[in-house]
Amino acid sequence: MSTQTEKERLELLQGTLDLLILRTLIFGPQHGQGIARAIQESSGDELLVEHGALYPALQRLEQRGWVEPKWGTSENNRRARFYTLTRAGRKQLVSETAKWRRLAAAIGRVVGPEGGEG
Amino acid sequence: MFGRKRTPDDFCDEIQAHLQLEIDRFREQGMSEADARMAARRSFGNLTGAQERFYESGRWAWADTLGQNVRFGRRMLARNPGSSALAIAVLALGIGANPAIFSLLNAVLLRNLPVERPGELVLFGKGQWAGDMDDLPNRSWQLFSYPSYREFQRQNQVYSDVAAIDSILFTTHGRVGGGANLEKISAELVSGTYFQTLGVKPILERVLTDDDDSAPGAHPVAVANYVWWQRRNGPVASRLADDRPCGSHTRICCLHFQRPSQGHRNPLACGAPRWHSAARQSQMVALPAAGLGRDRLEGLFHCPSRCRIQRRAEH
Repeated sequence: MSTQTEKERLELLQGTLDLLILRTLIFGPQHGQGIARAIQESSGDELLVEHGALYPALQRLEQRGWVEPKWGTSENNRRARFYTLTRAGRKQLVSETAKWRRLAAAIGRVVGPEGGEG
Repeated sequence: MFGRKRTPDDFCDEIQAHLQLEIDRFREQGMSEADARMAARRSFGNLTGAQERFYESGRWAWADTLGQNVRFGRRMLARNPGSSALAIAVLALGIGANPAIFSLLNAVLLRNLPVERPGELVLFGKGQWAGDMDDLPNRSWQLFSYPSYREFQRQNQVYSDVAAIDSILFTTHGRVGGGANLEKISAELVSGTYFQTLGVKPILERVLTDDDDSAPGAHPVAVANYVWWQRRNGPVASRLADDRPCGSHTRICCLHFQRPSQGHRNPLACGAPRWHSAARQSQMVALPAAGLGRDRLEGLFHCPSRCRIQRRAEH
């Protein structure tokens, strides 16, 4: 049942994963699995985050100093690596969000209003 | 982030933790343990791919690759010791030959003679540097007698000056500065006009003049080479070179050639050492014409400087 739904989900555009991770972390420290699930849920189950791609992305954000990792314990008592948004990460999130809104609006204008095609 | 490096093991732990959390989630949804494990792996996607991407993002991946290449290279060299040795030998020879060839070309072709106007010097005859005239008449007019040098000088209307050098270089032994031991001295006999012709000036005292070149044996003076002087007596400024017996009856009266460090444009600046090494002889003493009159002379001067150096370098 879950395979079926996952095939219909949208794949992420290149370069948008970083933005989504940073955005998710605004609500507090979270581990990788929690981030993946949170993106999926807050997108109304529309976005498919491949978990295998998530961790290299987290590693990249960590190297740029946008998130800070710390091993901790999850709510169901599992050991997990929690990521916290740093000050630089917050700044990055603001600029990435603005960029994304511009891009989405521009593409929306090109594609035209909903139901306009045909 | 600088200096702190995350180990692949730590990354692996994180992924295991992720899978465990996913399994827990699927179990909560009522899956069996085995199904939950499968589903967690499926939703993760490419596990090895993630690990490889982590490794490649590391700063030391290139070092690992380099190490592998070095080990591989060493193995291949060890497999064919013969051809390896040959390749190394060829490289060594090639690298070694380069500076040697360059220093030769540099001395022979690139550098100018350390004299005032090297381009205007001419050498009489074929520029044969050494020899004697026992088989007179000299077949090719390469050497000239002292009287013919004097004749040249007298009749000269073309050159600003004419000078002569004894064609037989000799090394002798003598005492310098009253020392007890005889020491080896490389000397060259030149005419009194030698230094004026070349335009070489001394840093102390004076060089020879034509007045030092009038009667055989009457002018026991010599000019010492700067390098020799420094090696023997320390800094030039320390003492005047006067009154130092050399050979049987010669005094060193002047130092010629300037300090090598006085700038490049001055033709004398690097003069002595350069001349010295190009010639592969250690002329340090120039006797006046008293010696010259003794017997034969090479005729003189000069070819364009380069050819002159060349000739001298051949000996």
